[in-house]
Amino acid sequence: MPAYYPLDDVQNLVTLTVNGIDDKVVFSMRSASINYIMHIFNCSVDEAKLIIYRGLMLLTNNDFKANTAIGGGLTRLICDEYGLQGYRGHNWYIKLAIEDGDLDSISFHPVERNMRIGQRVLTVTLPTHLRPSWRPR
Amino acid sequence: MNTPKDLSNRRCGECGEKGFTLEKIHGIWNRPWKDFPVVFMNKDHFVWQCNNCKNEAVSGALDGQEDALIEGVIRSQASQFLDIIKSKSGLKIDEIAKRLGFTPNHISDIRGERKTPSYSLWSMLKLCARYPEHLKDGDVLDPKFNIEDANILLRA
Repeated sequence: MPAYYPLDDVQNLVTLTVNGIDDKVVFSMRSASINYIMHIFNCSVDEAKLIIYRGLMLLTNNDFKANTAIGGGLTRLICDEYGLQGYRGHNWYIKLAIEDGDLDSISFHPVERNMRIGQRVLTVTLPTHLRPSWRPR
Repeated sequence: MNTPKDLSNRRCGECGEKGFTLEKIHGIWNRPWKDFPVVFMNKDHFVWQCNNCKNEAVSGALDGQEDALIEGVIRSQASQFLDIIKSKSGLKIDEIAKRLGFTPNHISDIRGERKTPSYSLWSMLKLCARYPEHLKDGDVLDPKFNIEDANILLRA
């Protein structure tokens, strides 16, 4: 099954935001994205956003894992899951969607359990004890 | 692109429900920033929180606003800590700097809110503002303090 949202659309929205042309990205779960990045890299908010944006721009269709969904019933939103290997010393779990014309970068954090994408396995790179305290153990 | 993004109708990535409200944050803001594990907001700040699960959302704009706000708060706090330390310890800035292991210029820049302290310096200043007596001659932060006599060594 292919990605629900074309990767070109995802990356175009990132480009528009990074270039300051328009604000087309939302982080609807910052504890699983920006805050997580700040915890790992001791960086600022904008630095964390840039780390995420650079990661999103590195994605290819080969990194796609599966569709998933959040919410329920008529308001269910389909999301795409990706795995990004070997970026800044980690393997990453990414969950995103496009809603109302904006990219929602829901999750962008090191994989918390081994993740299979096709023939590849993205292994855990961040030890459990180094995860943020708000993440499940 | 200066108008802040309205996230009131966005879907929460945590619980999947739609609806965020701008909620006031004052006090401990439980999220990291640079080497700060949490940030203490002594100025009112408003964040988008999910109406259902209180998860926070934020716009993706690279506008530096949140960083500038937090940096300003941290600089202001550190400067105030130094004012308290200076008035209660009776020490001059260069003496305070020496006891904390920093150059007088750096401590002066912190006091003037021209630089942002590291978390470790901010923590030390907070501690000394709370207990300024520890900076005085003969007390624990005096470089000549006798650590053997104070029984704070475990091994010879």
